[in-house]
Amino acid sequence: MRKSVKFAKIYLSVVELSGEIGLYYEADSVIHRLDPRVKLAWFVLALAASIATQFDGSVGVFVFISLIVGIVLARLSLARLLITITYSVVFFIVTILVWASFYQNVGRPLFYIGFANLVVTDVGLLVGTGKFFLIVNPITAMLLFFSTVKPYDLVQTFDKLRLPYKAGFTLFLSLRLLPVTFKELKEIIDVQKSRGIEVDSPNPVKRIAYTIPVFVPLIIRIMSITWETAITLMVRGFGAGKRSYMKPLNWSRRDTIALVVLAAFYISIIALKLVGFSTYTYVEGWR
Amino acid sequence: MSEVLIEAKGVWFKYNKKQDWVLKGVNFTVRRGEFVGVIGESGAGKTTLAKHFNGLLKPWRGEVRVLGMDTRRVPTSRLARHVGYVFQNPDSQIYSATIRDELSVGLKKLGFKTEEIEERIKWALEVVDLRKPLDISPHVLSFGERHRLAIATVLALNPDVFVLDEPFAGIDYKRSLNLLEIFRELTKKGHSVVLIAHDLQLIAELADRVVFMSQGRIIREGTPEEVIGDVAFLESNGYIPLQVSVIASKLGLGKVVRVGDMAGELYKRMAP
Ligand SMILES: Nc1ncnc2c1ncn2[C@@H]1O[C@H](COP(=O)(O)OP(=O)(O)OP(=O)(O)O)[C@@H](O)[C@H]1O
Ligand SMILES: [Mg+2]
Repeated sequence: MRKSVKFAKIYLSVVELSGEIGLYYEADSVIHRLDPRVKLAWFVLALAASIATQFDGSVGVFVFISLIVGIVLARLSLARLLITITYSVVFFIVTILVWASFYQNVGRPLFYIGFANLVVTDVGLLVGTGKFFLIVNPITAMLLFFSTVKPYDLVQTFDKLRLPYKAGFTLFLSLRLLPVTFKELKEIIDVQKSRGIEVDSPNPVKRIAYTIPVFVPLIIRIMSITWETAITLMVRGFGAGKRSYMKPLNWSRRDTIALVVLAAFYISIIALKLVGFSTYTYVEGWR
Repeated sequence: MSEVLIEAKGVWFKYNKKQDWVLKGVNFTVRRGEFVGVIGESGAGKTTLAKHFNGLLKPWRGEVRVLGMDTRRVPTSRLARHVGYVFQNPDSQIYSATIRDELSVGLKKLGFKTEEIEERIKWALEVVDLRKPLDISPHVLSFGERHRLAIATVLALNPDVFVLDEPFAGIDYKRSLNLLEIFRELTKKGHSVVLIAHDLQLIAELADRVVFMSQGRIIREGTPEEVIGDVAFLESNGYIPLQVSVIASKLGLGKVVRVGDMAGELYKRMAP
């Protein structure tokens, strides 16, 4: 019973915090001032590096650290960092357990986990952490990208890269819809609680039963919001003729430097990995 | 004095740590049978205060008690049988396939028998003047009708206190008045009403007590005459006073909010 109360609290606070993730986070930082194209390149590079290091967490961790540095430089809210880290930790444990179990017979045994009846070997641990970073790094990179690029600039970035305008705009719209959705969700939960429906019940089984009173109104609300948006777009002449932007993107020297540094960092990680480098062998040799 | 139903004591509240206080030490009491009107500029914190009355928001400092229960300890869905809250947007609530189901959700949970539920549904729909077959989908109703349905669901629950936060969006004036008359009637049967509205005339007609909020504080509280009848006070706080109050004050008849009262006052003075 007490456990489920705790669970309910976590659930509600996630809903609350998610409301804060309107994804874009207004702040004045070096990262925010970078050209969105640099940040897009950052995302792609980090993704590539995570793929290259997916079997070796001892290198993947550097990609992770670089992204955390990015988040800190971008002065994103503590809440956002905490969400990332909390989810990461939970996910970390699960991934490690799963992958370590595949590699029980490969490599040198390090320790034994009693409750899971599992021998963790060094290879298992490296692969487990590598796979963990393969998932968490791109998510963190994406968080960094969307938190520091204004949805408005996103459309332009797509345009500049000659990607279809409509694709950029669709992404823009769905990003805008996210915070609205969370706001609606919160309001709906409030409304249903207020009329005695136990959506706030500490009993998880009950809460599942009460998803209908929450999701039916939510879907209807979102549908009507989307419909209204569509009409607004139509009225404002979406897709008619040439576009211009209020604040055109401009590339500065700072952007070039940032791009070079980022590319150098991630490409060397990828290159090192391709050559077969692992920090683990160093630690091993040193011992 | 009658029983206290809701008591807020020294409530301080903000939505997040970085924000300034939205409520700054608010004291607010609702007694049984009272009709309380709340007015104040947009952003004064009226909605924020109202959401404390059923525990949707919880005070950072101070406390709110509903029939003695601390709102921090009791979930909102439990407080719902004592405090009924009417929201602005009916579409946030409606999810059932038929009007009947939508109305009976809460009642079934409270353990009422089928006949009793039917009776209450019928009564609530009559009150809000919604004459539609019970088996049709609520989604085919017009916005105003859906709103009346939402009000009916709260009425059917028969709570001790009704909290109405600008409840009449999309409802025509005549129906709004009728509905408010019914809430007024309900206060005679021991229910209480907290009405948040910008319409001074409505509040002056119906409320026993008026609370004026500004920037997170209650800056004036009293009878409609004392608050809405105070022309100088309203003007200095950005409200346009009722014409009858202005005329009465120009004629030196004191604080007046109803035409009938002004006429009576005039008659008294002119009679030999
Ligand atoms: N969810 C929220 N997060 C942060 N701040 C909020 C939130 N809701 C309201 N506020 C702020 O709290 C203050 C009081 O808002 P509230 O809605 O209580 O005002 P109100 O008196 O009901 O106004 P209105 O007459 O316009 O409905 C406002 O300054 C508003 O910006
Ligand atoms: Mg309000």
